[in-house]
Amino acid sequence: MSSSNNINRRGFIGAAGAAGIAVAGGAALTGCGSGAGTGGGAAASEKVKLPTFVAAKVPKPDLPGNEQGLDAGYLRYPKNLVPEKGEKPGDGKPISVLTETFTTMPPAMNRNAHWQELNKRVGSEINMTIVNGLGEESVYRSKFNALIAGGDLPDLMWFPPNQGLKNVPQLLEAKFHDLTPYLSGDAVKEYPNLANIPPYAWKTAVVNGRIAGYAVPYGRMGQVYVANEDFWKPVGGLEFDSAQDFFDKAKDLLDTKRRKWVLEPAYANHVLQFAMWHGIHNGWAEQDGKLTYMYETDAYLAGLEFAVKCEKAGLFYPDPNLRTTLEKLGGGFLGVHVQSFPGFLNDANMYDWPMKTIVPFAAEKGMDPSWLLGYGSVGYTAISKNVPKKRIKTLLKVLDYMSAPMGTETRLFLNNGIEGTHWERNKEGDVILTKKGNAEALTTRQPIDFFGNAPQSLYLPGKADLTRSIHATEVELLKLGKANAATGHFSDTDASKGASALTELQDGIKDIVSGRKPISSYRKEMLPKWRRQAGDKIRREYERAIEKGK
Amino acid sequence: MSAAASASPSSVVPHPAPPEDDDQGPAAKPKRRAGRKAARRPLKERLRRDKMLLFLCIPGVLYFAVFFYLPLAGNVIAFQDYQPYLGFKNSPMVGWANFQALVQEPEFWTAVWNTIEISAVQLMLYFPAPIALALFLNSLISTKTRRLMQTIVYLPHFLSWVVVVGMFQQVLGGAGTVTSFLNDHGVGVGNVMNNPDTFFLLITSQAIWKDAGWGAIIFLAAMANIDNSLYESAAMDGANWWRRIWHITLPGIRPVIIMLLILRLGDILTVGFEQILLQRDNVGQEASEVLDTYVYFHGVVDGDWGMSTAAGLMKGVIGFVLIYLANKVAHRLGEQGVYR
Repeated sequence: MSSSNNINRRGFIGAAGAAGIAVAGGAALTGCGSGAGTGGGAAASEKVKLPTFVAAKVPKPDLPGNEQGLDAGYLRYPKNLVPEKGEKPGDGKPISVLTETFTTMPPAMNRNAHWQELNKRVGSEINMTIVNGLGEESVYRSKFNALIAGGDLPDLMWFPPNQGLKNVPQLLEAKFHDLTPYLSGDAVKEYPNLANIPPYAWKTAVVNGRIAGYAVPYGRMGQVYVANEDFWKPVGGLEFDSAQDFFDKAKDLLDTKRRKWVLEPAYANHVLQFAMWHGIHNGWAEQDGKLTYMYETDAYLAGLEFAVKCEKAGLFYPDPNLRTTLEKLGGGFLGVHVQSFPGFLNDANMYDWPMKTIVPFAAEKGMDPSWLLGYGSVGYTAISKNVPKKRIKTLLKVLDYMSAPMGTETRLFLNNGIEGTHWERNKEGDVILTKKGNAEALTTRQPIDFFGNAPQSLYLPGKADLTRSIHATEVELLKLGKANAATGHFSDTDASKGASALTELQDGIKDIVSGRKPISSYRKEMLPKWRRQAGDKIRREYERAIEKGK
Repeated sequence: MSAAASASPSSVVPHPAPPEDDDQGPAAKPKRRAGRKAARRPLKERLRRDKMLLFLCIPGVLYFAVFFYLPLAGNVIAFQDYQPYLGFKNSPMVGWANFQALVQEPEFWTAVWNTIEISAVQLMLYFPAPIALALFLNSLISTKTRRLMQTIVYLPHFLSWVVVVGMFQQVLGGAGTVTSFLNDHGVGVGNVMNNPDTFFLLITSQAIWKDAGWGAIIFLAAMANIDNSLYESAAMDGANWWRRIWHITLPGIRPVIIMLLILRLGDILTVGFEQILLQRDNVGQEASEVLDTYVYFHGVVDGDWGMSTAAGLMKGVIGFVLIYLANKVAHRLGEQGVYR
């Protein structure tokens, strides 16, 4: 299920590409929300006991977080960090991993002090095979499928959400260990950092009645509409009282003679933002026992119509393959783009231009805008059966190490590398990356974050005001936040066919916005096709699951 | 004017008959036909005699065996409901079901149609381009200019498609230099990079820009083999530039043209995977899906291995049949073709 985060991956890839060498690896830019629907074997999955949540004991944040998904914020890097235990989690033998990055590739292990130190601290060599998803949306899926077909599986394999992997439940059963006995209920307490991962994230790692992998934590915040404030100053800033107002102002700012466009060309992402102004719901919504998918609503159609209007007015950047979105935004040649929340935090850390999110507003007077929550995870990491059973605990301990939360010495190291080499502490107590840190720590941590990470928190070194403002924006967004009614329920069809059917639907959306197909074809051809391929079956399965759960 | 060409001994016969097979050595020659069987040495002896040659063949044979013939066995996937986690052995055989499902997929036919359309355009426009370029380069008298021109036209071949497509985007894209310039001056040309209706022309022109120079090499080499005295005598008889090309150059390189055309026919369903993949978002799937991208997206990306292998297999079989037929036709027309 994609709901809140169904992203046109080109969009965020473009953004990531723009970030280039200097980009913070850190929080990933993928916007795929791993949905409730990744599960299969519905009936069994409903019964799985999720890992018990035990919050980690870390220094108190300056800005509190909450269970709805509001991130804890730190204005300065916390002091009195929880020290690293002397015991190393690894067993001395190498651990192979398949993971992805959306920024520059890290330097190879033998030239990478951060990576070498990681191996030393873990006590095992972490052999990452890193797929660079920058610029090509299907590259991870093809590498993943090729590895599976070749049979030479790495020890740890990251299962991305919504990239259209097929027959995942059967694949997991045949080739990967069932982690339920190691993680379900109180068993997780053996790994304190894994117990610190919230249950909503764990739900996304339950497949066919078992905990299929380690749920990779990711912000609960979904996609946001990020603008360059300076760009919008001539029309009075980022306050809009209606969709028409947004359109008029954007048209005023359009200046193709000076190569200025307003909207980044990731069409499907914009459609969803516009649909939020019309109050679209997240994923599946229930009414009288019947479920409706967000793509079937009038709000979505209204968003689509608005996007077509924008395209006709020339507001979108004219070439769909834009890979320098952030540079264009920073230079004032683009007005706004859609970004995953962690990606936005990353960018805010990296760039100095005034970045601000547009909180959804009512498209017309009297409408209730909405905002789509994420799932708090970005897929899961499964342990392949090539790993002997007795080694599973070791690998979980290594993942536990990778999940050390903010406020621990381990997290300080994982995110920033070695003190003196990769980062220095300034007078105010902020952790500032050195040149080497930018080249190594930022690029190495992103592929790590995709297979093992801590729950998200806010910290922007030297930007306390921005941290405060982002925290405040989160509060605003959460007020409009909509969750998916199907979250926590399972559909076999969604697991096997949901993503590929959705990808096809989104291809159709691109065709409509770019003018290759008429808008009428959306309800006449595309939606019926999606329903036929998967939609109706998914609906029935969720309806049954929800009915049972009542 | 190459010295080698003018020093060539045969000046009258443009197409000398191929020399007789010489592998029996001079001793076997006199009674060649009658005594062939009798003169044949025992296998053991021949093996011993040719052991060095056979030894040198091993890497090549291994290369083809490992990378071309062994993988052919993988085509069994086309007849299976193949699941990677089950492997070849345990995936159920489904007979022709994949082929049946394939021909019922409208997307497959879109891909077939696009492939044929692009291929036809490329055959008409792209195939003659290196010949024309070679003729032009060959007609340049100054060696220095010719060398310079050759270098310039070869260079784009060494750029990757990512770079070439990026350059076209920068120049002809909606925000590209030329488009913007024209738009600023009131000439609305739209966005040629995003136009699905002219996509086949766009990719053909990209292919010509990138590879025509490289493709010209082989024709230039063939032209260098043409005896110069032919040109000289033609010129003395008053043949103009065009007549010399028509009556000497083109017939001289005809075997090469035919050979390359046949090879091209075998590749006719391969129309530039990477180039098209890179521009898929510009024009949408409907205009840009070709057989290769279809196989990639349905097989490797979507994990629908059986059906996409069926598509790949069909493509291979058609290519094979085309090469075979074209070669036969070439023989009928008295040409060498690719093989005998």
